[in-house]
Amino acid sequence: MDRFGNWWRPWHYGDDVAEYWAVREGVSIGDVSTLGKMVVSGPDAVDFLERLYPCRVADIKPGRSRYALLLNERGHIMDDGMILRESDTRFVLTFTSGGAANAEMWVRDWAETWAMRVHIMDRTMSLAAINVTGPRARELLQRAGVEDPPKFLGHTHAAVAGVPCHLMRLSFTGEASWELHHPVDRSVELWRALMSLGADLGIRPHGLKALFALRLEKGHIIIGMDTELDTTPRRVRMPWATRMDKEQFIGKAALERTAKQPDERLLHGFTMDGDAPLEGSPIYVDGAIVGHVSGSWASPVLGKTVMLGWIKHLPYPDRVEIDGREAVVTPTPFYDPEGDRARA
Amino acid sequence: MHVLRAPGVRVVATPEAIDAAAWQDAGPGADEFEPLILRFAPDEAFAVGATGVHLDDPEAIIEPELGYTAIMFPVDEFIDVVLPRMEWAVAPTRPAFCQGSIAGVPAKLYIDTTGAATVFVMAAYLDDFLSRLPVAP
Repeated sequence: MDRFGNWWRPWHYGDDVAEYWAVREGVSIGDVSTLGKMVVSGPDAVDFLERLYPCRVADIKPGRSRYALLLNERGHIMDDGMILRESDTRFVLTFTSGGAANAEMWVRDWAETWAMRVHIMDRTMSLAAINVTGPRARELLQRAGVEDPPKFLGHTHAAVAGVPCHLMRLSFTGEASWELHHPVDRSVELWRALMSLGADLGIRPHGLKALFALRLEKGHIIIGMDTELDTTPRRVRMPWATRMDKEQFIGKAALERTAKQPDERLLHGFTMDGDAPLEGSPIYVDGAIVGHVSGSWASPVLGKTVMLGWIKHLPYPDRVEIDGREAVVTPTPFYDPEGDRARA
Repeated sequence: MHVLRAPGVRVVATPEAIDAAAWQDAGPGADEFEPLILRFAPDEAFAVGATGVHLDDPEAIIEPELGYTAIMFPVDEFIDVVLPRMEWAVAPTRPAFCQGSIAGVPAKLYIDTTGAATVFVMAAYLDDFLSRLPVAP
């Protein structure tokens, strides 16, 4: 167990590799209650969120959602999460576990600064969340009474095993996944019901160690782990998450300015044979340290070690040395690059 | 000390709408709250023991709130156990509602007209809170 944000979270439930395989090949549940959760409502909600986030918000239809970065005025990544639209004027936002408290202050501060007609309610501590993930996740949800779970990036409200839930279809693990946000006092009941209903499917809960491995195979970043205080979307290869043709958003001016300048920091993917090196290991080119590993995992499904890491030196190399071994710069995602499994 | 769940309704709306809100509850004797309206902010209220609300704000956020736990202290125990673990002054009026850290845990404090107090903490903080008190419930 370890502390994340205001919560204790398990690293594993006894066998992190078995937990990993349960997600990749069967079905698993994970406790993601730690995520920040917020409701924003009001006549200015769309305008407010358009200013707050670098992605488009107005074209998210009710019942749909979008991944979003949260930038500061310097264009540096503060947090990430989902924007879920419930109606014309009502949205649910999610944030990272460690960033939730800061994000709440950030959102409230800008609403006041811009004198927006919005209401804001933080729900982080009121709602728990269970992620149901794996190729048999849909089957499990159907057993729990959800006949037609939402499609990728869709969301809906429904009872799951009798517990009222906000179901959100997204994927951090790379497999079909539904987050079930529900009243915190019903969480144990829901967890036990899912474990019981999935017993013959080989269901296992997964902890953070498996989750971090699964996301690494997909190349999904973790804010604060793969990012630094001055990380821009360009530096983590996510300019697709910023719409520079929007009239304004926090960080836009800084991104426009820095886009004209050369940059020598870029998050890369790497693969190598053998065991995974320690996260934080230095990355060498010709004997000089050029960066460090931010995430590593000896991938059972890929049969090699996969890593994310920073290179802060030009020109960017094709091969580097990590832990005394050669590693090859490799595009991400390492696993299911087309995303077919997450959308299945 | 008496620990119990504190279900209710949480609302974010215009201050005027909250001022004029009509709260519904489950009826006399259904729980220990009648309901008890805690004003977290001018635009936010938590009605402990309420089951619904009518108010005049079409954009109001109204949500069932099941995440709070109430720890009720008689007057003497409040003075002996809780007050020494607060590093801020309690409002002198009764009843009083205050918000701040108690025993290092984010908390809401309601003191009724008799001086008896109820500390509300999010359920996730309950173990931490109780472990820092010198008495057990």
